[in-house]
Amino acid sequence: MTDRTTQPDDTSGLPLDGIRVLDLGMFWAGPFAGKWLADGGAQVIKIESGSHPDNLRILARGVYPNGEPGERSWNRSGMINERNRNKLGITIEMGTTEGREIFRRLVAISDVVIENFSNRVMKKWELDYDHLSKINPEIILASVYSQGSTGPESGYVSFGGTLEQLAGITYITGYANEMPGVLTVQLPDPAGGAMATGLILSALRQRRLTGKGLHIDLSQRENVVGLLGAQVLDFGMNERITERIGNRDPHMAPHGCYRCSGEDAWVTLAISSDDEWAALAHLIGQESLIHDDRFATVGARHRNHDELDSIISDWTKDRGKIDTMHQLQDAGIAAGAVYTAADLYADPHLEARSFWEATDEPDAGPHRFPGRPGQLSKTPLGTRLPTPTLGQHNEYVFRELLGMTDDEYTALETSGLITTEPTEAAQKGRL
Amino acid sequence: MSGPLDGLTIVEGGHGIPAAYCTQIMGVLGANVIKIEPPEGDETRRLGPFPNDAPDRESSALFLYLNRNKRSVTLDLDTPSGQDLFRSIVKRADAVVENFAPGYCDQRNISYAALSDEHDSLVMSSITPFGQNGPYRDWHATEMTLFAIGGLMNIVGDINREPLKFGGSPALHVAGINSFTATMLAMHLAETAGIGQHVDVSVLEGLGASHFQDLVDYEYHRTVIRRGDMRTPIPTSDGFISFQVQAHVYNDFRRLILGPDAADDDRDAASAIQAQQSGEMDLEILTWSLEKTKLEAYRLGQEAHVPAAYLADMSDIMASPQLQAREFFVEIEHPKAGTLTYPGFPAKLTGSDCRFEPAPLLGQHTHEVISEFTDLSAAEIGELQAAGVL
Repeated sequence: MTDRTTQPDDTSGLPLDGIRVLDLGMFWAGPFAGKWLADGGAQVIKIESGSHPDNLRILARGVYPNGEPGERSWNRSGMINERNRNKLGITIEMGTTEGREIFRRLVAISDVVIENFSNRVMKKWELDYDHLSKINPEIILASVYSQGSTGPESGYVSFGGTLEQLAGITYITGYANEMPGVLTVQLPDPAGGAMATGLILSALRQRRLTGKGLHIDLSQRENVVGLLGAQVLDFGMNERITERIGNRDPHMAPHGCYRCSGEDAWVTLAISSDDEWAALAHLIGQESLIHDDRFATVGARHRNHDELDSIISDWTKDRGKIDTMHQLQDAGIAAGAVYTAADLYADPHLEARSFWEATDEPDAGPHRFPGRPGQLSKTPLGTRLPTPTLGQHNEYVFRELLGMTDDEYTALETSGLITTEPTEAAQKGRL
Repeated sequence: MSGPLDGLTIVEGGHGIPAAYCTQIMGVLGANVIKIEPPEGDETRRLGPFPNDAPDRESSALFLYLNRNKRSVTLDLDTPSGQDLFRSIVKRADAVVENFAPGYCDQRNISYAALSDEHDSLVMSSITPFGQNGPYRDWHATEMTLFAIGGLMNIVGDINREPLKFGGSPALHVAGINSFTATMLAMHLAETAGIGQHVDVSVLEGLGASHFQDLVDYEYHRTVIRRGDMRTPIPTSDGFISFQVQAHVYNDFRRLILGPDAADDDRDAASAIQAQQSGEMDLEILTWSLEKTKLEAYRLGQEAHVPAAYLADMSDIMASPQLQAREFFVEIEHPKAGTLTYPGFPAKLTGSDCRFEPAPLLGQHTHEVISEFTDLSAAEIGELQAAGVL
């Protein structure tokens, strides 16, 4: 048991206090799972290296404070800092035998390893589940694979945007009767990261019951197909391929997105009953349409949806999107303005719910980042630590946790096995 | 063991997708899930699609998928005896997962405070569009309106036209995954320390925490990212593909398209990729892609280590060699809907198996569960059934 006073973080009382996680995750899905566990109170050690820092430290897409890469740009990337809070950060050159030996020593004192490499990497390093379980039979290895550990495409690499296509979301998203576009939301990443987290927590339970660790072989592609269960069943039931229908809905009408006043300003609304239709007609000053044959039933509203859209647009086009959302909601109608990032940050509801969390990064300064989907009444989750700078906790982890002597630690630094700076090649983006 | 959640009893209440998808996941992993439905049934029983488009409350595709492995109990929670029975069942359960409207449980004395009174380790997850408090608490919402307020719709579609929702209801399903995760986090503490608690899951906040770039872009330098021009996928002989070229594979990508002898591009990585995205190699890419099928082009790209994808419709997904090799799809026989192909489970866990039992008929297990969880006699249960409580 390490003396708490030397720990960089206090997790006492949190659900996962005492659980140690080695987070080899890169980009998003893997680190997202690590973040969830870190929020929950686990000691999550993010492992990078000088030659392979988390890609988002380098491929920052220009997202730096005030747009300035500045000194130590790798610690200033917005996307790295948004998704690695509450973790400790270390570096180990995993490509070397010596580096992997240090990693194995960490595996011996840890509960969970998370990785989202292509499925060749851990095998090549002899760090796949068979090897890890020999070091620590209780270890849980969570592999957030693109497409699982088996099958002809298991070695393929992917990103959220490619998985959206491979799993069917892109095909069913788009304007009716037109080509779909490549999506940039990358929802498969947070969805895969959240699923991995739930599975790790389930695996911890299995381990409590059996005393044995296990391997989680997660396919992100399958996870996304799992979001489309009704569409899968429809194919079998009716040989029907779901097509693009814009913003329409098979069960609700009207159901759409309407232009408001202002630059690129829109509001969505969804009517799911005749009563709500009457409320909408009343609100937009069109009471005479409530019982009009063209719109009186949901079937009629579906048939005359184009006409309905132009009536609604006539009402929304001179109104602000936020005001319109409030007016519709006050009338009991499901509505939502199409928020930009600026709107989200300014939203009073999220503010009242304390959704945003303040961090203060050593090299990037204070910022507010999103919280999380769930709040726990007795063990509130928050931001205890900002995202670590590259190798920030090398000393704590190697000296305190692994008990290295001064000489051993200095030798690691000298040999380049650990560092706080990416290599020159890595800084140029040739990872 | 059959699944990691063996021995956990979860009571599910409410309507719709998020709570049901959360407990569906838990059921596949071995939990004993009891679904409390109102006498007329969960609203997803009325939503299709249905076999041959013939509506039937026992064969809605959405319901069948979301409610695998569960037992269905019908209870009228507007009656005091229905509420009593709910409390009795929860007394012998480990967790409640519900997505009733905020306030619904308080009015019926089945709130977390009421249920946990004699059950310290109870976990109760309440899943709502906007959370249990705050000015929008009682607002109505759908997949689309939440996708809009969540800030994701803003980046889908063409900048000159209306933004688009995703097809289907993926955001509400992701809310179910988030709920599974949040519930398991609380369960961990409940099972290891005996401390139960109330989990407040907001669908909106789940979406707010799922942005790749635009939130940090705004927070860091006040840039508002919007959707751009629609970038359509690249045509092949039989469909469409796309590439997501990163710096470290840029030269691999050049050799894939231009041939093995193509020289390395010595510009810095970022500007080279920008040039490629702005169309520098479009003609060469088309020449290459049009003489290949989408699967061939996808495989060739991936074999060259370039992240490639093909635009898959549902028939492509069902026929995917990868998904078939993983035996992802499962056949489940249901007494009313027949034998159908379902998505299986996206993960395999060493040492345990997934479970796939059909969704329940409405109220199929009312008698069985009430007998198991309460001390009522068969005659008393019969009286409640006659009175319409069950």
